[in-house]
Parts: sequence; structure tokens; C-alpha cells
Amino acid sequence: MNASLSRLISHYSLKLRKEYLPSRKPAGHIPPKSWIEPDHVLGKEGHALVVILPTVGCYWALTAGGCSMCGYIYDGVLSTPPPTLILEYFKLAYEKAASLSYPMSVKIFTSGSFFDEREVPKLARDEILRFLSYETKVEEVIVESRPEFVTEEAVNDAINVLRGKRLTVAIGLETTNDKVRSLINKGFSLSDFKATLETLKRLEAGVKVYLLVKPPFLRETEAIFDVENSIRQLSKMNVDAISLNPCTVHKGTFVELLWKRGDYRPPWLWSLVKIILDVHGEIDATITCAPTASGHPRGPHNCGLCDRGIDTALKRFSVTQNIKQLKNLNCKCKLQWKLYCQEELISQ
Amino acid sequence: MFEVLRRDGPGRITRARVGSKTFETPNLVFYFVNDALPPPPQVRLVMTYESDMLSKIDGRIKLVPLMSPLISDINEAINYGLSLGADVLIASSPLVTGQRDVAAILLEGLLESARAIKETVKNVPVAIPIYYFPHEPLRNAFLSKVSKLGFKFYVIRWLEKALRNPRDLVAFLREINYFIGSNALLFASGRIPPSYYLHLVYLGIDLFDASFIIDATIRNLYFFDGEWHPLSALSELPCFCEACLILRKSSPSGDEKMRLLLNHNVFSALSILRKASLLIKQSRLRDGVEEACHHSPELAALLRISDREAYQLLEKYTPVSSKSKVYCIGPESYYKPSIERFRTRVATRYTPPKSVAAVLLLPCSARKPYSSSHSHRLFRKVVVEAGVKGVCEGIVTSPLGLVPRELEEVYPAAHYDIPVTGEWDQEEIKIAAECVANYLNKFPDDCPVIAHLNGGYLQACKKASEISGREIIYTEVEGSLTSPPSLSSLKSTLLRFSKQECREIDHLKEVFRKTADYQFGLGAGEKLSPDSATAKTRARGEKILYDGKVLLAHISPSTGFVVPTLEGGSRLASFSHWVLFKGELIKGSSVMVPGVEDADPQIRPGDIVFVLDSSKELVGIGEAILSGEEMSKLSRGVAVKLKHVKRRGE
Repeated sequence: MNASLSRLISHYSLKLRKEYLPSRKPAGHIPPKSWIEPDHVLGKEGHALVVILPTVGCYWALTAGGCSMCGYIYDGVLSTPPPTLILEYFKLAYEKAASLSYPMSVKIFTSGSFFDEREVPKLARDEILRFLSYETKVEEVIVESRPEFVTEEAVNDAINVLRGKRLTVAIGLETTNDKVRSLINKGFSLSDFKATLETLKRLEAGVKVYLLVKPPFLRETEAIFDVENSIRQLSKMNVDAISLNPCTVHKGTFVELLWKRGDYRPPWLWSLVKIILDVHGEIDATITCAPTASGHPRGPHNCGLCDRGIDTALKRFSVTQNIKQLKNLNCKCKLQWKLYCQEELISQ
Repeated sequence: MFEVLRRDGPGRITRARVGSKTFETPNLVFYFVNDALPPPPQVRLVMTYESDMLSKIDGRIKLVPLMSPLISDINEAINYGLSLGADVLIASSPLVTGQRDVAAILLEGLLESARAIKETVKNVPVAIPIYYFPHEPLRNAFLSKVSKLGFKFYVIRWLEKALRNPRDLVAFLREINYFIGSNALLFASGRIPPSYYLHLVYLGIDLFDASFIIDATIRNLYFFDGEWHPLSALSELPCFCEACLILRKSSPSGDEKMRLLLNHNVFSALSILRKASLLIKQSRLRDGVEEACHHSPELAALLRISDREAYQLLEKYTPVSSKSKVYCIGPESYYKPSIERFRTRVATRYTPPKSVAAVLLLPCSARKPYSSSHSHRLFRKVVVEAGVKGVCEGIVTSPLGLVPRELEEVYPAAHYDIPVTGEWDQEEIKIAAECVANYLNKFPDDCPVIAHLNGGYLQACKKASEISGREIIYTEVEGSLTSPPSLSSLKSTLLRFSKQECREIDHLKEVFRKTADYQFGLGAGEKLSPDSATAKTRARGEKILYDGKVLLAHISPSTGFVVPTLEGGSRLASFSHWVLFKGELIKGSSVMVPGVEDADPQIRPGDIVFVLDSSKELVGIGEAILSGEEMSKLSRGVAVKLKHVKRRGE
């Protein structure tokens, strides 16, 4: 059943990509997006500069339709910009960090794989990292990549260029359950990830794992179970950080198809709180959760009255790792959420 | 796992056994969500998946859902469910979504997991999900496959979506009955408002969940008499249940207040289901549904559409008789299955006696049977005084249409009650006109038709004349129908059609014949009562039929039905309404469902039936408790209550 679903998701996603992708802009027409956010930097409270490089986008989305919830590809451009332009753009974005002090991290996202040379040419990658290696207040550089591009050679090169600054590779594993991952149409397995993990550990790079909270076709309760299970398993594998990413409904995705028909509801914010409360104390890895679009129908949401407060609490927890932030949160809708979780098991 | 104790239409009372525990339906399944909302004491069935909640449920029936096969191995899911001490497992199913091609894959996966569960779980009952899809072929394909697995318990999902489309809802429930039959409990899950309970019980739903009630409670809503009120808007609580007494006295707050509100709301919703049970026991569920349909246009629409599009389903399980009166209050009663069945049977099974001098159409009377009423005694006197033989009488009425005099004591002709005002609406006129036209067409073309009618009766009759093309002779009515000039006009009209060659009709014998036809099908009367048979009224008014010295049948005074003796029954046994008994001789006073090999699908609850042994010899006569379909398909319960039994050596 999972395999047939996966094929169908791929089919629909490809159709959607075909419809939405041509409206992207040519290379050089969008400057990189960047912003500063509070962050947990290697055990300390600090800030992160987030830079989104507009690239041609994730090959997996371009060739196989990609992940069922992912619409980041539409933020990309029609072709790969020349390396010089990429570097120029990055430097421009980095100006925002002028006001920041030690410790800070830099997160470079491409909406795909930083180590895929079709997205970020080797020259550009090296130049960006070299530039950062001279920035003393930068403690950690975080990049994203699918496991197939996290080769020994690429990671080694990056570590060498960074000259002792911490390199952390974030991987969208989404779940440790292969069955569930097939519903995301992720295209790789837990064993692929484990091989990559071993490489990164051997080279002493940091590993951050993204977990998707409530992939399509999971009930709220099942999603909570799946994430908690994944966290416990990952903790045993010694990953450094786990980022919980509540699913949001992106335009032009398979999940959006479900959502428009009323067949998908993004997770409740209560579920995120529950997950962290349940696993906290059992595990060593840092857990972060900075929801996007919370309170919005397309994002994780509760009743509308308490969404903002809970979103803030989750973000405060992510930076401080202080569990008190999540205790004693309450709202009338907490019971509605409990009821929703239970009745969905029987009535949906 | 369950037996049907009583029926009224597709609605029923059942008793289910799970392990050492039992529960009755109609009933409510509670969701144990949180300690703030514990299951109220009246609740018998509780669903939860959290082990700490499960440990707090004592002595009640625990329903536990299994994890989706999309995320876990089925056997692991089963073992986990069993380890929680479930009394009933809800089969693991993927979260099904509506898009057709996606749903097709998910439903295939659901079937796969259902098969695995069927293989491995033997000792715990399993409820299997079925879905309402707005797309008929999709849901039918699934129903047809899932029904072959033979589960006895189904969770109907998404029924709340169908509430917006009553036509589809009725079609779906009809399809469920077609594929699954009645040998399974039907649990409608989801947010179904309690105001729908009576209708849905009537259409065959056995269980509901409490999600609507719990949600409303969290939103601080108070349920009273079918409506939800914000608790804060009630200056005084209208209910006197235990929870309300405490709410009134000590005005608690917080969790305690919510718990009491929950108890009240669940109590109120449950009392609708208790009402359903009670109505089923009285064979008055239909009346309850008619009354409740005045709560909202949606409910009224649902009833109308059920009558129009699910008559076969409703009729199949509707008892042929009842101890209570049949109330026909408003238009929603015109197509009551028991009424519609009467009209259909008269149309298809009634034939007039052989030699008829004239047909006389008379109005109905408030008193039943009609012939015991003052007006009919006067009419009768006129007919006798006129000395006209061979007059066949038909009584025009609403909503039964036309009652042949021979059937006036048969249920529901002697049992219905309507508000008599003499004013008929267009629908009533149309219904009656069609029945009268049909009745008249049963008589030879040259047989004169006299109508002694006024008001709505007359309108219906004139329309019937148009429909049938029969000429009708109307008496001259002055004032009321029973005024001396009216009666004398009736007499003089009758005299015009006196025929010397006509003999007096043996009315009582015709009653036996026509009633047997009505009960068992056209031709049964001739078989039971050949020309050699004699009918007479014994002391105390008992009507009997005999042939020589052999007693053939009597008429039940409560239902007006013919109850044959074993001798009389042997003349009809292979005709219809047979129940094939697995053994040779019957012990005791009833036939149980497991003892039934097969039964005539025409049998309805309350019918007189003929129990045959394996060599098709008649061994008993009794009253059907269930429909014929259920006798052959159910696995427990009483099928027939016997009136006459052939004992050893007889």
C-alpha cells in the first residue's frame, strides 16, 4: 500500500511541478532572502543568520516530483547562477549579521542540497565557506543536504575550508520509519541515512535531523507516536540536534491537494508541546521547534486564541532548551485537541 | 456475538456479548479523552487508546483502535491492542482520504489488514470500518468486498458528511443493508447530532459515539429537548437529572462544572436512545420519528426521502401488526411503511367475491372496526332493509385509501387513528383516489358502483372515477350522510340495482379468504377455505373456520389475522411463509435462529408462519419474531414463537 501511494504521490507531484515551476524567475532576478533569529548555538544562547540561496532547486523535486509537502522549490530560479553571483549575493546577505556578536551560527539553505553541485557549484560553495572561515563571531555553519550528496570528499573539503569552525549538516530524514517516509515520497531509506550519519560522525561534523510532524496520511495520534519514536531512535544514534518541523501546506504540493479537499489538517501546536514534554529528559540531543505559519490554517494551529503564545513558548524553548517554557500552557482548546486525537482514530 | 431482541423497521434492540460482558443497543460509545471528562456512570461502552486511561475503566466495554497499517506492522498492532485488554478491537485502517484514486489504494490496504485480522484475532470481536463516499461505485465496490469477510461489527465513518445529503444517506444505508444484511452491528462514528438518533436508529444504526456531545460540552453547551443552549444563557436549568441538581445547588466551577455538564448532556443524549428502545418495544418507533421530524427541515426531508427511496428496506423489517394504535397525524404519516404495505397488499392481493350485484363505497368512521360505529350500523340497516343481495362494500379513508369490508378488522385497518376533521389535503385525495380506482377496476365492468359519500371522500371518489374511467352513481346527500333524506336516497339507489340471481355473500367466510390472501398471498384463501368449509362466530365472538368436524383456523381478535390450526396450516404450508427447521420435532415453545435452515424471505416480524421439518412436513405454526431474511442469516435469538406444535406421535 505504501509503495503504491508513493507512486501516486510522485505522479501528482510531477504534474504540479510542471504546472507551477515555469513561473519561477530567471537566475539573478531574486536576491537571496535572509534574516536573523535567536538560536541555540552549540550549547549557548545566541543568534543565527539564515540565508536562503536562490538556486535551480532540489533535483529530487525536479525529476521525481519531490517530497509530498515541499514547495520550497518554487522559491528557486530557472537556472543556476554563475558562482561569482552566488558569492556576491551571499556577502550581501551577510551584511545583516553586522549587528550580531559572538556566538552566532550561519544557516545556508538552498531549498535543496548544498552539496549538490548542480545547485551550488563547487567554486561557489568553497568561496562562501572560505569567507565565513574568517568571521570570528561565527561558531557554526549549518547547511542542508540530501544524504546522497553528503560524500566523504565533499564534507572533508568543507571542513578543511572552514578551518576548525563547526560544520553541521542538516538532513531531512523526516522520520525513522521507512513506511512513513514513503508517504512523503522522500526517495531514501533509513539505511541510506545511517551510512551518511557514519560518514559525518567519522569526519566529526555535526548532524542535525529534521523530523516532519504529521506527514500526510497520518492521524494526529499516529504522527505524535511516529515523531516520539523517531526522536528516541535518533537519540540512540547520537545525532546532535533534532529539529521538529510541523508540516505546513505549501502551494503547489500534494499535501495542498489533500488540504484543499479537507483531507489534511496541519498538526495542532499542542501535539508539538506534547512531543517535547514526552521525550524531554530521555534524550541527549538538542530539540528545536520553530514552526512557520503557526496559527494559520495552512500551518500548525490550535483554536486561534492561544496559537501565538504557544508558538512563542516553542521558540523560546528551542533557544533556551528550558522545559519550563512548555509547562503549564493551557487553553480551552486543549480538550478539543485531546478529543480530536481520540475521535480521529475511530471516525476517520 | 449478538442477538436481535426486538424490531421495529430496520430499528432494533440487540444484546451483544463480548467475552463475559454484555451490552444492549441502541447505545452510545464514549471517548475517554481526559480526566477532566471521565465517562459518566450511565455509559457502558468506552473507547480509548491510552493505557493509563484504559486502566481507569472498570467493568465497562473497552473499545481499542489499532494503529494504521501505513505506519506499523499489522501483527504488532494487533498484539499491542490485545495487550491493552480490549473487549472490542477497531480494525487498523489507514487514514482514508476522499480523492478516488488515492482512496482506492487506501481501501485496498484496509481490506488487506482486515483479512490479516480475520486470520489472527479469534477471541476478541473486531469492528471493521466502512466509509461513506459521495461516489456510489467506489463505496459499493468496497462494501461488496468487505462484506465477504463476514465481520459482525462495522464502524461507519463519515456518515456526518452524508447528513447534508439525505438522498445519499438513505441510498448508502440501503446499500449497507444490501451487502451486509442485518447480521452485523452498525456503529455510526463521528459528530452526529443527537437530534438524528431516532431517525438513524429507525434506519438501522445501532451505536453512536459521543464526540458531538463531548465537543459541545467543552464549548459549554447544554442539551435540552433536542436543542443546544449556551449554559451561560440559561438563567434556570430546565432539567432535574442528578447532575443538574448539583449544578443548581452548589454552582461549581472549572473541571467539576464541566464534568457535571458532561453528565447531563450524555444523560440527555442517552435518554433519546432509551426512548428509541422503548418505542421499539411498543412498535412505535415510527411514530417517534415522525414526531421528531418536526425538529428541523433536514429531519423532515430525511424521513420523506426514506419513505420514498427506502420503502423496501423499511417495510422488510416493519412488523405486520402491533399492539399500539397506528397514529396518522400529518403528511409524514401518509407513507408510513405499515400504511403503504396495506395499500399495496389490497392493490395486489385483494380480489372481490365471485358474484357481486353492486359495489357500495362508504366513508370511514372514527370507531374501528367501522361496522361497530353508529354510522355504519345505520348504513348496514339500509342495505338489509333494501333487501339487495350481493353488495360488496369498500370504505374510503385516509391514508389507507380503501379498506374492503372483509379486511376491516385486519391490522392496521382497525388500528389506525387520524384527526377527523372532514377536510382532506390534495395528497390525501390523490392517495385515496388511486386506491379507490384500483379497487373498482377489480370488479367486472358492468358491476354498478354506488357512492354514499361527501366532502373529501367525495372528491377522492370523483377523482377515482376519472382515473379508472368507471361511472359512479352518487346518492343524494342532504346534510350529513346519516340524515334521513340521505339514507333514503341510499336505499332507493340500492334498490335500482337489485339482482334476483345474486345470492347473499357469506361475509365471514370471505373474511377468512380475503384475510388469508392478504397475509399469505393471492390464492391462499381458496386453499385454506374451499367451498366445503364453513365459517361461524362462536359464543364470545370467536370467529372460526372449519371443514366437516376439523377446525381449520380462527381469527385473532387483536390483529384480525387468520391463525390456522395444524390441519388448516397443512393446506398452506408449502404456499408461502415457510420456515425450514433443521430438526424433526420441536421441543419447547419457540424456534431459535440456529435451528432455522432457511426461511421465506417474504416473512415479516409478526407474520403467522409455518414451520416445516427437513422432509417439508408441517411441524408447527407460530408468530415470526424476525423477518425471514434474518431467520436464515442471524446467528442467535428467537425466530418463531409457536402457537401450535406437532408433538411426537401426532
